[in-house]
Amino acid sequence: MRSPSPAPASAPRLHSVLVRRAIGLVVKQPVLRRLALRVALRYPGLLQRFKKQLKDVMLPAEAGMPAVEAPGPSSPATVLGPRFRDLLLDELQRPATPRQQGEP
Amino acid sequence: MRLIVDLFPAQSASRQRGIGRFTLSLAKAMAAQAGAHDLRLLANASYPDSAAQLRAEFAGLVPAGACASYTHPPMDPRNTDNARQEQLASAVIHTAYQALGADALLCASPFEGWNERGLVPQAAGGLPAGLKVAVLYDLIPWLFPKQHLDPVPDYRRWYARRLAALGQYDLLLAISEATRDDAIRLLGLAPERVVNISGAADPQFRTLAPAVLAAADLARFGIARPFVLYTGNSDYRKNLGGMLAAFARLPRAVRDAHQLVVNQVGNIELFMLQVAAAGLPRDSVVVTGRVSDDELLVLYNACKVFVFPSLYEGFGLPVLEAMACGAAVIAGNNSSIPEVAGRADLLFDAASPEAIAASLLRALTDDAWRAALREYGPARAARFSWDKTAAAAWRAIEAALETRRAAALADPVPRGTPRLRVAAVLALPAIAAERAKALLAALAPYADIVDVDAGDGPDGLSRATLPQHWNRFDTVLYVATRAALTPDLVDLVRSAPGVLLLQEDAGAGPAASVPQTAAEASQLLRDEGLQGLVARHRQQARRSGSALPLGRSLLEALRCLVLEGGAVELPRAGAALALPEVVLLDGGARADEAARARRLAAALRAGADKSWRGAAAQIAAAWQGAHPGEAALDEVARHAERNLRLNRGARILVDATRLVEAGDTGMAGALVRGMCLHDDSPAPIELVQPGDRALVRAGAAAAAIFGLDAAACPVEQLDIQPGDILFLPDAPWEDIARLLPVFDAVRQFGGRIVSVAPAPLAEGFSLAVRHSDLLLCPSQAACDAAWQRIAQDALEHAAALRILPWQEDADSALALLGACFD
Repeated sequence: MRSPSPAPASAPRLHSVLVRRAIGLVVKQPVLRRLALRVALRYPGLLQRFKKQLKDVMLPAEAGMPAVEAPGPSSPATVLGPRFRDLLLDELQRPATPRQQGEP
Repeated sequence: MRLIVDLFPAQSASRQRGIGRFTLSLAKAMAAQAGAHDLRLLANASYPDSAAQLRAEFAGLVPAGACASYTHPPMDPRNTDNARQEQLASAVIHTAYQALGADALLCASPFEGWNERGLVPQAAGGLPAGLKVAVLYDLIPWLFPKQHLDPVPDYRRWYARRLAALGQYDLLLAISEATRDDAIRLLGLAPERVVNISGAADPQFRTLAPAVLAAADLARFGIARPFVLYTGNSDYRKNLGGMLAAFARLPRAVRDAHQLVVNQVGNIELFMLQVAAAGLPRDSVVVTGRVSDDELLVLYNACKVFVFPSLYEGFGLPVLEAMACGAAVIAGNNSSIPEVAGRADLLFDAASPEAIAASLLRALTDDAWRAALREYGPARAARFSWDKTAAAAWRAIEAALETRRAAALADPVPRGTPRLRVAAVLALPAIAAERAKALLAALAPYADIVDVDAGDGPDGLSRATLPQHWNRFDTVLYVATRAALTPDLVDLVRSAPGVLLLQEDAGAGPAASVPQTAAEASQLLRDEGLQGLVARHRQQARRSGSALPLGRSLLEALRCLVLEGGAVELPRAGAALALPEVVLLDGGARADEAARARRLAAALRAGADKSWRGAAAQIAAAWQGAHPGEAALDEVARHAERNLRLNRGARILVDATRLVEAGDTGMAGALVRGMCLHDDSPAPIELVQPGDRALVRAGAAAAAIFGLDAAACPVEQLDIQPGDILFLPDAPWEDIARLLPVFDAVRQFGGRIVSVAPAPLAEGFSLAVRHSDLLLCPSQAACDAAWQRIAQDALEHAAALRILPWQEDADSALALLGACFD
């Protein structure tokens, strides 16, 4: 049984990691992103080869994956106690304790 | 025991690997053995396809609502250095765990979330469930850092965080004795905290009849001779290089008479260069690529020898799968492989190609030994089963929980437990109130109590202002008798949730009366559904609260219920409702007041731990002082409120769109009337219609059917709750778009969609098939006709779709809908 991990540093896998990072950098810029998509669509072989990497960096709809919508607001009748948003605001305004600073 | 199993490892990239298979097989076997335990399966809604598949897998194994989904702000898989994003997502997932208030949480793999949109929350930072349990597969990345960690520094940091968090789990379930030893030796964990539950091969791996095997088409893989099978991938430790070198070392005559069959080799060109470098002719090695389970079954059965030269394993499942198929297996003598293989003579030194070659040569040429190995395999594999693994898991969790409970009983408020700030509301007759005050005084060593009714609280604290001041306290303690649980008090508890200490009294609830306000009517509808409201208006005696002595709307809001004398029975309501933790205070003698106070203090601590405040604090901590934008705040709050809804109970939601449109009180009206007046409805019934991306109560239609005043049944949005059954007696299929978000929500909360099937040739039939989990037809012949049409037109439908006959009356509908809760 195998742990979730990157595959060992064999050349192809490392190459994939680099490609994924490069694609990640490219798609953060809208202009480059559109260009990258055009290139990917122009060369289907490329799209196929780096399908997984592209899937990781594209928006779900672009990669053909069903998008997940954030849940709509719960009705007041469903909420028990104060709205969670108010609690969050309250907690954000509290002075930070050691635990809140991220210590386990 | 209520146990949460987070199924995310069966959704992430691991779902195609051993971890995903292990998670699914273990959860299924545990569901089959759950017995009186309340097993809750949670999937990640960010992966809608796999979440849907999981719900289908468990549809017949657990009741409606027991397999639901949580949501969280999605992770960005591009960002591999995202500790803050992880912490935020973890904290939001914690709200789902918290809602269920489980006794134990089983994390099916703690190392999940790398390059993913979701994750398994880390134990660090505090998981809200009582006992924290995780399955440990191996520590291979740590044992082979050069191959697994060094190439990707972000991954090394990520893995190190997860590894450090392993110590936070109360119990680790190792999948082999070798992995258990690794955990104890390398992580320094106490031996009693790591239990070996082993693993098993899927029952689909079995010996095939010779005729089936003969009919298998092996030539399409390029297999033309007797072959040696290897199923590892290109991962370093799977030792594909060692396998090639060993095969090349075979005497030429033996080698030429066989082929080596491998499947996933990574880069094929690179691999063929390795084949050539090993001096092997191209046709002596067959690369199948990824194979399906059915193909793997055939390959295991057909191979002459199965070789497993892995350098390290957490369990070594392929060894067992091949043995179950009757293959002659030889394998590496390391890690967990010997305990799985169970026989010394089939093991070799996997680091030595010579040793592999020697063992392989013997297996290929020594017919008697090979026959003995073939005979040995199935018997050995039969000693492992998912039933045994699941039983071991349940046993280990039960024992750990028992130890924890005994410790809590002996010392309910351990030294160092911080003092609590508690608001107290006493709703008692005068004499009982004096006694309660004495108990509260005895709480002084553990808590600062502020009496809400005394008028001496901060900033004009009173019952009316308690919801605004709620977050200033760790929890609220309500002390009441059953008779004092009026709609007003229940409303207060819902606005400011906390702990209820229920004092002994005659056992009667408040007198049943017709609701006077919209709020009272809403509360009654939440507690008992339309049937309760109708009964009140008809002044009929009806047993209280859908068989629950305390109403659902109260139980939903309680973090902990403290009972004196244990007189209240709390059965499961239909399905899904996550009842609060119940603590019993012993006796009532004044001499025991200190002991009672200690137990009450422990209950208050439990209540404080389950307060939303803790979840909000964790999320705030994830932002680490930075003030998030309004949009981020809104998004996170929506996810959290949605997850916290997971503790609610199931209902039957009857779609009344046609009734509303046509004002029809004919057959459909008679059906609803019959269901609501039925003596034995399995859950509260609500009459609904689609609103704006949600359902709203069809108050006017309900009032019209039962001849009530138009205001008697208030219209409000009804959010979907776990296990809700959406019943569509006459669905508006032509306008289905309005219901699609509702269908999605019902499925996310583990509910079912039940439709009365339109005639097979009607326009809505294909839509009904596509969107329903259960279709009702007027006769068995109609069911057959429906299946025929589905097959004929290859109509899309849910994997677990059932089509059943019904008698088109309330009795039949309730019986079939009720079966969804079993």
